[in-house]
Amino acid sequence: MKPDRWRKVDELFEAALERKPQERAAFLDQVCGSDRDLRREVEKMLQFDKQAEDFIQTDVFDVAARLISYPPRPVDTPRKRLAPVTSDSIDDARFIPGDVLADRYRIVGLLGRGGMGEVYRADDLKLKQSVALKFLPQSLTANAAALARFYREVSVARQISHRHVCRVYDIAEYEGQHFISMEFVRGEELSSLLKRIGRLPQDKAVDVARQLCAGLAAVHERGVLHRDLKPANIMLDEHGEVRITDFGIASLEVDQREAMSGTPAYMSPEQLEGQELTAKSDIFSLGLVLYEIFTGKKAFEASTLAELLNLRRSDTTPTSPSQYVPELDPLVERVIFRCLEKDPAKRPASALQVAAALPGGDPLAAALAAGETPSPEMVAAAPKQGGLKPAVAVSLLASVVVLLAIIAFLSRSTMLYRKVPLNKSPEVLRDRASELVKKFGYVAPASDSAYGMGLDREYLNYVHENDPSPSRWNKLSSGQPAAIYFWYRQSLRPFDVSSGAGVSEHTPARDIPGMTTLTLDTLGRLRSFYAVPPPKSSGADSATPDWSLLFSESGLDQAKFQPVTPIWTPPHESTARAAWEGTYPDQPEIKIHVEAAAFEGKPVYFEIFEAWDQPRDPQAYLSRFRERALIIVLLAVFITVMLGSALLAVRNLKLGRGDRKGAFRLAAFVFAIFFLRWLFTSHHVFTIYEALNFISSIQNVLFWAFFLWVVYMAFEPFVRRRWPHRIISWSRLLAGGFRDPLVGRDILIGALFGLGAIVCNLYLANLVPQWLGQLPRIPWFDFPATQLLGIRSFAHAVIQQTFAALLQGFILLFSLLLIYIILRRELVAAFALWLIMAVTLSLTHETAAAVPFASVTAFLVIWLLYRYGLLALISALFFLHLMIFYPITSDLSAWYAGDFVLGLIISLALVGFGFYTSLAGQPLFRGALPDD
Amino acid sequence: MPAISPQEVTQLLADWSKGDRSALDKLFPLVDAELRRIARRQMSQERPGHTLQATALVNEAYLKLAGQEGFELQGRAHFFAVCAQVMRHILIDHARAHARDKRGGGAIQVSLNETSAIVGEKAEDFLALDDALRFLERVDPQKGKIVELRYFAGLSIEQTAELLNISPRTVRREWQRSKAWLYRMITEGTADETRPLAKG
Repeated sequence: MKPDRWRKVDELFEAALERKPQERAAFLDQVCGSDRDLRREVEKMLQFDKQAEDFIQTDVFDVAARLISYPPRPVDTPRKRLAPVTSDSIDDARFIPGDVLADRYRIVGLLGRGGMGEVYRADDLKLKQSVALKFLPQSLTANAAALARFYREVSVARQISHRHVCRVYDIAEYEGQHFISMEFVRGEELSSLLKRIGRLPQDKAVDVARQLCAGLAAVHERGVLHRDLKPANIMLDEHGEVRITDFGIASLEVDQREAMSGTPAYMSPEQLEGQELTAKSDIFSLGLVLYEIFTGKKAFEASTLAELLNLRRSDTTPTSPSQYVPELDPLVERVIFRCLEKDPAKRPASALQVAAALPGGDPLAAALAAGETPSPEMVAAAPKQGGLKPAVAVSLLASVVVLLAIIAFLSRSTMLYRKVPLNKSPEVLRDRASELVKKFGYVAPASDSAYGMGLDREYLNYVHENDPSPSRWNKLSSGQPAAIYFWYRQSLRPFDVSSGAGVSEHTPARDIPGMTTLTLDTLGRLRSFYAVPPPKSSGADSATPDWSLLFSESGLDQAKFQPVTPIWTPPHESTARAAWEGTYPDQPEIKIHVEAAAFEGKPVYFEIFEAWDQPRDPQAYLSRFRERALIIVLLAVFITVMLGSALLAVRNLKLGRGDRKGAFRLAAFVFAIFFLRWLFTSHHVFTIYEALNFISSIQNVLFWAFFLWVVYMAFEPFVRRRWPHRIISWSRLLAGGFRDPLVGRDILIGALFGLGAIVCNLYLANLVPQWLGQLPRIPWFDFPATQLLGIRSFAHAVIQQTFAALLQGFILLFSLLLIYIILRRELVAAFALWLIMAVTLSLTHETAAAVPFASVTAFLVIWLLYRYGLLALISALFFLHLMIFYPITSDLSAWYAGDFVLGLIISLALVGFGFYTSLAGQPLFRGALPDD
Repeated sequence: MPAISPQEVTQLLADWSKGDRSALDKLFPLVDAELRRIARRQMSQERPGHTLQATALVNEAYLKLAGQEGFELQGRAHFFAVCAQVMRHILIDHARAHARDKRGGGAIQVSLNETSAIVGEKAEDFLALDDALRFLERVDPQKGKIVELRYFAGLSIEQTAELLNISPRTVRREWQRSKAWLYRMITEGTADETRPLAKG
């Protein structure tokens, strides 16, 4: 091309480049006209321009330096004195740039030459990626056993995928030479960085150290040892991220002496001794690397190998890092020295523990970063502080106390037991009952008796459905008919308690002659009487009994009753029957039907029937859709959870994942409280029944303990893997950390939420619709403690309360986890669980007006779990169950207030404990009062 | 190495900028020796593959030769131009030696361009680049200068523009087209009557 022609082409080439690609053709048409040759030339230049994008971009000095440092041997230039010819000359390289290996890798250049062999940069022509190819020394490839070991190692190493580990892709062979293809990391080796700048600034060093630990942990997790961890094997990529390279490969050294000449400076004592290596050996090397990162100095510095080996074999300890870097965080020095322990057993157990011990180290974050499940100990040791500021703690405590006061105050308008005249204590009623039994002619001394409280739900339902007056519940105060009643049983022979179910109004069955059962209203008036007649007729007195006694004990005037034909079948044989109709003296609008029967002169049956007393249809059981649906759902959930958790627990046990210690402690705790409950609350008798009672109860106790153990073994590891932060305080409590501020904080916050939930779900859901003009709903009658009175009822209550809180806490947490696994999004899972809980709670209420309150309650509970985790939730549930297991009252003189007061004392003690520990020793009042 | 004071280096640069070719001849061996020494030292410290910073290398040579103080930018800029020429000479010398050596059977490795797939990393290709650059210098001296400074002295677009006293935009455009031309000549060869022979 002539220069003037060249200039013309260049000119048009420039002009074309100025234009948009799509406009160039038209432009060239115009300027070139008929000169097709010119046009072709310009188009060709445009084509070359595209290809030349990356052309001559590299640093030419790199090339120059290479050429200068390693001149070819026969140099005919006058500069022969230049670089000495070393054995490391690039002319020894097996491949030159441009060579294509195995039809796939085109060599780009030699990256380096390690102890093992050459490393090339190459282009993977198939996948269009840069890779690094590491060639193995001939000494290895010739050794079949070593080669086999190497293949095994690579097969494991290529499974390791971690952002801080350089990926191994494959192993291949080219003309008898084996090489590994690995990820090509654009960056700098830590060794050269350290050489350039000395030590790293401390915060950067901590960052690098942590990434290093995460990467090494990921390698160890797969069962691979690095064996040659040193700064030269650690890359910092272009983003400054750490990449560990060459792991496991050092194991292939066949020649021990050669291996020693590699990097003995970074070897563990056991490695120098030629002993078997473990992950702890890598931890030692890690310690040396950390030493260098933080100080810029080698821990063991020696000029010759022999000197180094001497130094290492002697008991010399490295200079304290803080002598080089006085401002070094003592934590760093401590963890480095722990890694450098001569005895492997004294070194940190894992790279993650090293990370955790670094300043600001969060073992959980380290574990999660390594894709590993943190151990329960690590969860408990998380650096999360729960200390509350005094002002916050005080206001939480104050809110709890205020909520308790509100709950006690509002009980008057909501609770059934506040509307029924509960003036007489159960002991008074019991004495009256046994008097009555004697009066009715059963004078033989009883060897066993039992009593309790019962609830007439049918009466409440009847009023609810038939009385439209706003004051409809006020008449409960007359006590007759009885919404809450007292029952008493006695037997000539100890009760059969072998079923383990204890003694209640209906169990064991009334089938032993002489056994009597009666019920009184809460003011002591007779409601019903049942006696089992003797098995054999005495044939003696069969005179008509004196029915008037029964009437007078019932507080009814027999004269005002009309005799009618008996219609209700007495439960036992009788020789005389009678029936009357009339009304209650206080409530003449309630019509009653009185039935009585006698056997040979003694009453065996007395009962007052009201309109709502209908014979129970045996088939009507579970007729209500809501109840049926609820029970079906509960059963399905229970069975699924049982089977699923058993399978999972077995799997976790096999994999060694479960928290055995925690699960055992939990199970032992549940066993203990259930055993205590049985001891305190069961009906004990001094007969052989007691042994059977014990056995059945132990079965029950063992079942629950085991059930909780299984559930905990099954699900806890998943929570620990995904949401360790939700079980930090729980793990601490389980590990005995009672004084931990975080534990205290969660208990305190939980208490607040639990009490808030009571106010919302119990009081507001009941009272707000009433304030808005709806008819008052049935008073809250859930009062299981009525079955058991006195100190026994309290023991029962507190144990039930604890267990229910535990069980429900787990169920909610594990449900959230299951839903999360299905839906994949944490917030969505929380929302779904909230929805389920809101619907379930709404179903337990009888009215649609309660739905908003049920929803808010569910929100409180789920949000608490979501935000504060398991322990706070359990605490909240514990307080929430106050309403179920204790007779909440503001009338502290009532005989039943004792239970509530005790429950309150326990609750307040717990809250106070939470308050105290959450302060973590801070003074409540700091210094003087503010200046005026 | 003959001892030379910083003042003398400055003087030589000033003379050269006034058009005294002999000043360049005197500067050349000094710079050459210094660059080689620095490069060698770098190479013995670092593992192969570590990138040397071109400008850092030249800066170091400059500071060594010219002393640390009292140098106006013009002197420094000229020094870069000298360095670029020196670097080019060094490379060509070695590439020739390697090429000869290769004909004798030894393999060489010149990593000219890590990402370029077509331009080989062989000494012959490097010589081809030099040939192409000579042709370019003949038909378009400004393009030749730009390539020399950008490629052989590691200068940025802005530094090159400042040194040649033209706008960075021009440098960028000229540099782009230079690359395309060089690329074309290397891949196609400069097979026409004006192509200069490798050894003219």
